[in-house]
Amino acid sequence: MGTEAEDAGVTPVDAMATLLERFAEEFAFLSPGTADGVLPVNALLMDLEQLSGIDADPIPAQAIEIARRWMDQVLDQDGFFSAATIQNLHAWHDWFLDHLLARETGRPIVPMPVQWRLGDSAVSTGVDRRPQVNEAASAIPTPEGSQGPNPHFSLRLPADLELLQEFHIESLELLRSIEQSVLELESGTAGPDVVNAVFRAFHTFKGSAGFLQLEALRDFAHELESLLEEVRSGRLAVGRRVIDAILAGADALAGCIAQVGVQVSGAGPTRPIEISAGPVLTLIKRALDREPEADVASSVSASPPATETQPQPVSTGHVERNEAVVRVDAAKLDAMVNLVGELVITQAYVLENQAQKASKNLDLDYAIRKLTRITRELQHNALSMRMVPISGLFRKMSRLVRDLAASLGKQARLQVDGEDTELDRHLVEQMQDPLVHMIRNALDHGVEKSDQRIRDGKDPVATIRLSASHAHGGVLIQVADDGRGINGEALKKRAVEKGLIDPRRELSDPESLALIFLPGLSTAAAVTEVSGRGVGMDVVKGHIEALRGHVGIQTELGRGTTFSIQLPLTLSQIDGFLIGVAGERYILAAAAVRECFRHESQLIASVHERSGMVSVRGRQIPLLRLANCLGLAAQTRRTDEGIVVLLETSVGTRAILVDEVLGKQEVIIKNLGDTFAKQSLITGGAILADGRVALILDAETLARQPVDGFTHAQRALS
Amino acid sequence: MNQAASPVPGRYLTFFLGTSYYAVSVSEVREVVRLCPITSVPQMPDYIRGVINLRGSVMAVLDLRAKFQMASTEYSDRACIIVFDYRNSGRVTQVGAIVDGVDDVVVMTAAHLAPPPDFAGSVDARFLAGVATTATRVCSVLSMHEILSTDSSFGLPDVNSLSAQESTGSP
Repeated sequence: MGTEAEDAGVTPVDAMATLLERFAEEFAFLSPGTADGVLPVNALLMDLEQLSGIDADPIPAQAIEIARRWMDQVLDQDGFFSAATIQNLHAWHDWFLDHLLARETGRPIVPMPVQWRLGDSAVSTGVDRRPQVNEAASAIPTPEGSQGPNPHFSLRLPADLELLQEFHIESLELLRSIEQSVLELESGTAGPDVVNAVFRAFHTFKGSAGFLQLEALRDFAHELESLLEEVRSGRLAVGRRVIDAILAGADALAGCIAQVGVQVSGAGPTRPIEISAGPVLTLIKRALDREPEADVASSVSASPPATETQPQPVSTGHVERNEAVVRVDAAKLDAMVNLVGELVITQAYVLENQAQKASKNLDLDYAIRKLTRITRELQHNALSMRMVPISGLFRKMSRLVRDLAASLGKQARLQVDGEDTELDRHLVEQMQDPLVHMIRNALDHGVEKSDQRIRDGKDPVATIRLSASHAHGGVLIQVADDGRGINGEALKKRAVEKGLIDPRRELSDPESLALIFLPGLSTAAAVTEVSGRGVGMDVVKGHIEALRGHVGIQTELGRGTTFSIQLPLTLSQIDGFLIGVAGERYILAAAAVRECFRHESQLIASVHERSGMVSVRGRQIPLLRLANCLGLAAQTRRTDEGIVVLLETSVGTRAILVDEVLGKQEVIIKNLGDTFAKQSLITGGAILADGRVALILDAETLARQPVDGFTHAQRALS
Repeated sequence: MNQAASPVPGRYLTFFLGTSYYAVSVSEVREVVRLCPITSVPQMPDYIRGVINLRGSVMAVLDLRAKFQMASTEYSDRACIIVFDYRNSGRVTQVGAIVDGVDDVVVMTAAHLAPPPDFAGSVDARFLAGVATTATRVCSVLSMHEILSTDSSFGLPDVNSLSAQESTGSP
């Protein structure tokens, strides 16, 4: 594979910088006490290691070696990140990027923090005894480095088990709200109520920790609370240092809480939990000591001291929900939804039962109709229980935008709309990767640097807008930037250069734009394709389509780009269009079916006596004989029998010839399991009213089948 | 695969395909169900017969005759589907196999069991864990896990998933 790095003559420095940007993206998802992100970070580090040999400068190689040592420690232990390691990695990333920039611009080079090279004892991943991180961040050695060991606390188990369980859950929510509030603070649009919210969160934390006699935790929360008190009272303005201190504090708390969770659930032994307090305390001290910074012009001055009595308007459209909530294990919920699915099938079976139909028993008839209604309602309720608001996912993105914009040297804010929109939990989880990549692309390629934006007469701070809403019976997620837009002509030129399309082909504007989804074209792939990690828009598209969604793109040069993702509400059921071919029944997604008609033979032209075209209102549409394609003995050998079904797909309209159309029906999608994971034609199975399985065909894959289906089926079998 | 080891003593389910008898460890068997209508899946090798509805889940069904390259026959009313637990990377999935009939559950001691003989290539011995000799007959002991995992269609990660790509590492 020809890499873009070679094509464009990218230097090792550029390549490393690009990889470092990827690091920033992964770092946003690291959280203390979990293994999240260990593998991606490790893979990226391996990519960096490959590059370090090429570069003439020995310093990157040393830096990479240091990060390798930290990662090896993580991997050698339990594979979990500690708060200290995460902070180390952040500092390392910032320093490294700064180093590369300094080299490029000829700025004086900031030496690597000495303590990184001190060997393993100094940067132990599990227990961090030195606040080296902060020194690293600014590369200013501070005397505070000589603090004593980190404070620690022990849980009183099993005596306090129930209380601690509650504390654990409550703390997770507090931490989430702290992070969200801080990001709002940072966006500069937040009012004093947000400062109050963070203050109250730390205060609550302190209170609960004190109640449970977790003194060290209480004292630590107290330090953070004190910092916020300064802000709240107007003595300190919210600046970069304050925000960093709060985030570091929240991360340290998160690390402890993750440990509490492990011990409370019995997954780990009861032992003292250490708070990585050192670095945070240093940050707090610095935030308190320093003069107000000039660089955070966008920051909120929290100077109007907010008193508790003075109600503040809620600034961000947060809806307070005070309804009673019950926490249920997700696996139990899934099991229940499955059982309800069974019930629906069985109910349909009873309804279809001929003996019952023949009985003419009115009472029974009435009871069955009532059962049908209740079942449907139950199903609806069960499915709605699995729906979660998308806000959790969006929140992660705010962190991503923050970290990534900083690492790219750009200014951007994230504007979020419709975060209360609910969709299937599985979908929310599955959408994380595509969203990360789209936001990354938007920041990396869409959004200009501030100076450029000022020259163009735009707001120097770019806006990434992430929105969710209900549309077309599903959910519409949009990722919009106000950057430079995508040049369709340039895309086309590039696709021609790479031999991806025929230069003579005429392309409409939307068609040119759609080229961005071609494998190998995506602008983001660049260097990392070398390592097989190239994740471009083609993968994003594939991922979304695997969720039975679609992605579209609108752009305006100089004004920005919007990606629109249409998703179903749930992965577990579809509106099915039931067809019969060669005595077998298959299901298509009704959404993909545009129309169907009993065709007239004069409208069909055959090619090589195998494939054909059907003429629909003057347009010639490729006709796929479904029986051939599926390797079945067709009942309708002649094309003048059967029904033509028109499918709307991303590659255009396709016609398929089937024996019969059996109707529309809502079906529960059943996973076919690993056996069939390699193919994409069948996306699942559904159990029909007679108890037999019908396979669900993927319209997109069907559309890509060669029209002479015979050869394909035979090729697959041989 | 360790050729020299004998199968582990324990309870075995015996079944037959035509005139050949086979034994599988009951630890691998989940249940035996009646032969029921099978929905065939297109574009799959012929030994994957299709899928059935096993109490609400969809389960793949293999044709062992086809897998062992034996001639196919009509199934008699003794034919049934043995449901196996297939364990792969921490997950358990059920896979069915059609057999001509189930025979018995027998306790096999070490004295009954021996490693597979050398067929000198006349029989594909990959799937044989050994032979079991009882008072009445000789059975081939099958390693179902071997049958299911040597099959290229099993246990592969989904090619569409992003995470699968991430773990691929350098080319």
